[in-house]
Parts: sequence; structure tokens; C-alpha cells
Amino acid sequence: MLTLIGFEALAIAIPFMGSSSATSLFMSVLEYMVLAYSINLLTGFTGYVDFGHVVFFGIGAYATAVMVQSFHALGVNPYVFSIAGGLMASLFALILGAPILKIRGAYFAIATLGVSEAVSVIISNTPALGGSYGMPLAAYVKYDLTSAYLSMWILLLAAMAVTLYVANSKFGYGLRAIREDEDAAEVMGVNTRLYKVAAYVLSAFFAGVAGGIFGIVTAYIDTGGYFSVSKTVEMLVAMMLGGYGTLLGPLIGGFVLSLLEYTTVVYIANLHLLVFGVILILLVLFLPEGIVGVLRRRTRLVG
Amino acid sequence: MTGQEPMMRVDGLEAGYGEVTVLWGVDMEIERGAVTAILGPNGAGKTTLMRCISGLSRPKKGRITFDGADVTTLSPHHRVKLGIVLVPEGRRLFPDMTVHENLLMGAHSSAEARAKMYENLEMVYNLFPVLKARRRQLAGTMSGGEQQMLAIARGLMARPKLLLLDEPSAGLAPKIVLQIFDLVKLLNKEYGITIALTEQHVENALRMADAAYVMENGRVTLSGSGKELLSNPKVKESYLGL
Repeated sequence: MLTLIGFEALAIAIPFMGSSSATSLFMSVLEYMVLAYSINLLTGFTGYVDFGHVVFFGIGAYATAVMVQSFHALGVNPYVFSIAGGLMASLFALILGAPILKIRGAYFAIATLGVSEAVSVIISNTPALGGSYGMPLAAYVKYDLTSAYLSMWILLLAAMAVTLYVANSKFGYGLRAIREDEDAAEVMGVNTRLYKVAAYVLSAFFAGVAGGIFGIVTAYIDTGGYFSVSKTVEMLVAMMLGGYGTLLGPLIGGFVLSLLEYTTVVYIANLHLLVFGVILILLVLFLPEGIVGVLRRRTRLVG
Repeated sequence: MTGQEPMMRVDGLEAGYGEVTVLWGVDMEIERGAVTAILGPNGAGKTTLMRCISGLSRPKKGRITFDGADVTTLSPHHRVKLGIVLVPEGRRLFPDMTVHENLLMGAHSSAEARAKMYENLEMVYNLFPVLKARRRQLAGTMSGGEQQMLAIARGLMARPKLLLLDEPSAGLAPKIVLQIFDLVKLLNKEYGITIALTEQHVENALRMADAAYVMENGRVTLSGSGKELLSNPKVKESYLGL
């Protein structure tokens, strides 16, 4: 635990040590972790595999961009607006949740994929949101990697706190019961519809805020980057690698996968997605419980 | 028990899945404090009836009342709060949760069940010492008989007034089947729980049941007390092989 705190203190200090390339590497590590926590709240706990989770990242980014455009004259730190991005993503999850979460299994995965593609197409045909050109924000925000970095840290800690709470609550037990046998959960008195929508709304919030923060720091958003299917795959792989439905799984999975991406992108450029695909297959076949699951099993055997 | 309003009444229930109708106008009464057996071959509609009573399936027509109140359109979690608790066919445990966690899930339903959770746990562990010994084991790794015990114990954690057991003895060894029947009797007599169960072990079920219904092709074809049906020539011929 102490080493973890030490590591975190060191990591938080990175932007103040003056290396902006290290900071942006760590930004990407944090992004992976937060998005893995986000999808973990839904997919990890309930077993509903969300193949369109990136839609919340994108909606968060666009909502934040609109807020920044409209209210930049107020002079507040623009990263504050990313909270509005998160709320907008949650609102979308709230509206979409009741109908889409009635669909189970692979059909849910396909439906979510369809929704995220549809939202992407709608936005790229909406002139007010920049259409297919996207939205440049450079005129409204100044480059401030330190604020972005600290915002991501706050978001990560919030996601961890919420996951910790959910994992040990009645709510979390209900979600796990849904994952293991939804009908049985229902006859045990779990309000399955309410629980699923609540998990969806909660998970959407973190992806939405993350999208907002990234929109501001890159100062330019478009549908290609912010609604890409490969981002959903990255979230899923990070969660699976660490261990779904666990407290530390997304942290470990996000960390390992982002560093892996960093090295593979350097050496084999666009083939890194192929590497991720292979990892996903190997995980499902040989390590379905992820790194945390294996560690837990070991300690259970020992203890 | 004459003159007393039954605990549950099912009137003209029609239900099915999509276009397919499985139940064609089922009428049934479940008396308070009694054991009611619902018998019949595979495909008779016993499980669909259980699903309708517990709220997992919505009937197309008909009415279900519980303690005088209409519950036909109530969702399952509301019915659990009222005390209608189903132990589903095939046990349907949470396999990757421990025995203990499965039991806690049983108390998920109502504030009352949660308030009395530790009291109930003690009762359930006394009733099933094997579950106490295996409380940290994953439910999916236990034997069939133990899993059925756990499924019933999980149902008890919800503090049922009406306990519905769907095929509790399916797939179990004969010795375990007898244990399950003894347990049903005990829960009914000692704990005063009203029980409705579906069964394929017709003779055992009729010996134990206060009232019984025989279903065929989605309809109730015979009903009466357990004793009456035991001596009914049609039951003897079709189910008891006499």
C-alpha cells in the first residue's frame, strides 16, 4: 500500500519535473486506466459487454467543446467544463439505458456498437458541431498539460473510489448477481432494470469526463478520433487484462496495456491493434479472470 | 381450512412465450399454511405457471391475487418483498459467488430481510450444517444435492410467506430426494411457511401435499387433496404405474 502511495505521489509530480513527453505518456496511461474503470462499472460488474462504450467518451468531448466555446469568456479553467461532458454522457446513458439494456448477450454488444456508429454519423453531419471537419478549440483554450494531468488524476481517484464503493455495496452484489444469472437475480428481489441503468449512467460519466479532458488538451475534436471502435476495444482489453469486476484490475490492466501500446506503436506502428486483438483472444482463452483474478486465486490457495 | 380466503388465487391464467401459448386458462388456489403440489408431465406448463406467479413471465390473460391484492402485473422484485419467493428450476445459483454470498443475495429483497439477515443466517446454517462448513466455497463447485439445499436456503433468506419450489428434486439421487421432501415438510410444519411445489415424483409429492393439481397441456385436469388423488384411478394409471 505504501509503495502504491509512493508511486502515485511520484506520478503526480511528473508534470512539475519539466518533461512534457513523460507527462503526455502518463496522460495516456491515465486515460487507459480511467476508461477501463468506466467500462468495468458496466461490463465488469454486470457482464453486459458494451462494444459502443466510446460513444460516451465522444459525447463527453463534444459536450465539453460546446461548453468551452460558449463560456470561455468566463475565464474559468476550461477543464471544469469536462464535468458537463460527463453529465451529458450520463444523460444519454439514462435515455438509452432502459431500452437497450433489455437486450442480452451478443445482441446487446451489437446494439451498442450500432448506437455509437449512429451517433458518430449524426454528429459528423451536424454543421453546428463542425460536421466532418470537427471542432477546433485552440482559439478558446491555452495549452495546459498540467491542468489536464491533474484533472485526469482526480478523475482516476474518483473512479477508484466509486468502484471501491460499488464493489462492497448491496448495489454491487446486485450487479454481480445480474452477471452470474439475471433471472435468478430477479427472483431474489434485485430490481434488475434499475440496477443496470444505474451502472450504465455511472460508467458513462467517467468516460464522458475523460473525453472532455482529452478534447481540451488536444484542442481539436472530430468524430474519427473520438468515436473510434478501436478505443472501445482498448477499454475492453485493458479491463479484461487486469481483471473484470475487480477494484485494481482496471488500474493494472490500463497501466500494462498503455505501456504496451507505447512500445508497439513505436516499433510496429499501426499494427498495435493486431497485437491487442491477439492479446484479447489469448486472455479469453487462457486468462479469463485477468491478472487480478490469477493473483487472487494464488493467494486464496496459499491462505 | 374452509371459509378462509386462500393465500394465492390464480384465475383464468393464459400465458406463453411470444406466439406460443403454454397455459390455457389455469385456475388454482394455494391455501394458507398448506403444501400444494403441482404435478404433470414435461411440457404441461408447470414452470411457466411458476414464472407467472413469481413475476418472471407476464400472463396474456387472467389474474393472480396474493393476500387479496392483485399482483398480476407486479415485477418480480416487488413480489419478493411481499413474500412470494421462487426457488427456480435448475437451482440457478450464482456459481462464482461463495455459499455465504449466495445466502446474502437471498436477503437482498426487502428491508425486513436485511434487518433480520444475521438471525436468518443462523437459522439457515442450523438447518443446513453442510452449508456452514462450506460457506467460503464457490457455489458452482458443490454437488447437486448441496446446490439444491443452498438454493432453498437462499430462498429462505428472503423470509418467504409463500415459497415456490420448481422441480426441487430434479436430477438428484433418490436418497437426496427424500431429504428434500423431509425438508419441505419441516419448513411447512415447523416454520409455518406456505409451500407450492412442482414435482415429477408424483407419489412422494401426493403423500406430502395437502392439496394437489394435475396439469396436462397447459390446463388443470384434476385437483383435490393429496389423499384423494393418490386413490384416483386416473392418477394411479398414468402416474403411479398401478
